[in-house]
Amino acid sequence: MNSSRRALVHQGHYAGALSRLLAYAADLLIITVVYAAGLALVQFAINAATPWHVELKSGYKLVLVGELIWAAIYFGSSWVVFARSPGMTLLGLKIVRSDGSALDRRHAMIRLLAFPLGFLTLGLGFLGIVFGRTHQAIYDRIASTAVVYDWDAEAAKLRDLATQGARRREVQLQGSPEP
Amino acid sequence: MAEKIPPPRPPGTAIVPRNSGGADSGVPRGVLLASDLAVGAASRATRLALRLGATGWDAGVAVAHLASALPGADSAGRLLNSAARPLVDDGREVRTRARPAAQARTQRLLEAFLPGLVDALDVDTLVRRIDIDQLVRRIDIDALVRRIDIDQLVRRIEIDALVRRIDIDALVRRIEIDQLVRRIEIDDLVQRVDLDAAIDRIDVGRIVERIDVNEVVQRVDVDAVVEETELGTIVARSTSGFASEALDAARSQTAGVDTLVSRAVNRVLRRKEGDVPVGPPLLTGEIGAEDAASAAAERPPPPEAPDGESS
Repeated sequence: MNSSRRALVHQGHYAGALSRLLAYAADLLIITVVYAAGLALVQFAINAATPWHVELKSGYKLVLVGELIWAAIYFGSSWVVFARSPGMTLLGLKIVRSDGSALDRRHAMIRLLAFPLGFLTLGLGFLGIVFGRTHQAIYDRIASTAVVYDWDAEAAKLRDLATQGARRREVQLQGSPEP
Repeated sequence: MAEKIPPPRPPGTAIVPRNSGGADSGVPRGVLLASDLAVGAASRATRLALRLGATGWDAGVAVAHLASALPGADSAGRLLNSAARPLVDDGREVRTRARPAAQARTQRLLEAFLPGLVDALDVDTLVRRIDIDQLVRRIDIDALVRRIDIDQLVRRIEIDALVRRIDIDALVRRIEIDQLVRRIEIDDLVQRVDLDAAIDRIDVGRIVERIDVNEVVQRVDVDAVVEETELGTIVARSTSGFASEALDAARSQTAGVDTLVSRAVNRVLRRKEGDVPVGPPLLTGEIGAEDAASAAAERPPPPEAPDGESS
């Protein structure tokens, strides 16, 4: 069984630690890059268009608070609208209710508010993802949510099959004698 | 004394008495002799009388011829005729009246004697003496058949009643279908079929309406179609790209690593694979995660482990 067909088996199952970690890392990267780019643009605009001079290094606390707010907006909006963040989309993950039903706005907001608990517990809140039966972090428990694999594995499998078939036919054509 | 069987005679020419008579009839011998004597005397007397009568008749005719040659015979004849006419008329009248009475008496006589006569016949012996083969040979079958009006015969047959009396099931049971089918030349039969005409008579629209397209589509092996046909090539060229292929592979590989990590954790925590829910119940069709542990014994085994992931 190749990887594309194997991926079909995982659909709807609880997402494991590595996938969620990579998704979070991707989200963090996007948040940081976008925020940094935004800050740089704002700093450049202020310095160029106004008589004031802004130095971000001196106001790092303000920058950090701004980043937290931006991260909250980033996660909150993506979870409410798409039930997944961009990083989760990249890894093919999706947030659902603990029974598997679709995530609603209320539970998405509860999850967002409870999300910092994972860090405030010194990382202990994330241990449920690794050791829990349902791979739920502390904020998932509070918000009654879960993260599952959910990418279009059927399409991926068909793409893989089509590619393999096309390659095999090309090899056969190259190996066949000229008419 | 052994009975002597007489030689065969042509059919219909002899009547065989049941008993041969004589000593076996039970009549005293003296009576038989007397009766034979009386019958013999009567027979002689009768023959003599008949002979005398015939001679007298011939003599009368000769005398009449001679008399007719004499002169005045005609006048005498007419006179005699006139004189005899009333007698002739009376005789004719008497004969006419006596005929029915004679017929009635004959009828009564036959009715009285025929049953005894018939009883005296040994029909079995009679039939045995008939040479059936010779009798049949003498019949001209062709002439007989020619005289039969077949059409009229068929018209008199009630076909419906005849068909009703036929036991179709019994008839069919007696037919050896296999032997019948073996004798059919399928190739000849097919060659004689006008396929174009048969196809023209088929209502394709009606057939298509009766087809459950959804069921047909469900039976199609889409994977094989995509993999083995040019359609797959089109799909590959239109949808595949390096990014999508890399993303599909990365997702699959990551999920595979997750599975390995989960198994390792379960082994460390001494969990049984069947006790751990693989996903939310609505997505996996399993019961609630909270009840998973208690219902582990009743749950079917987990899905087949992907290749290369078994520890």
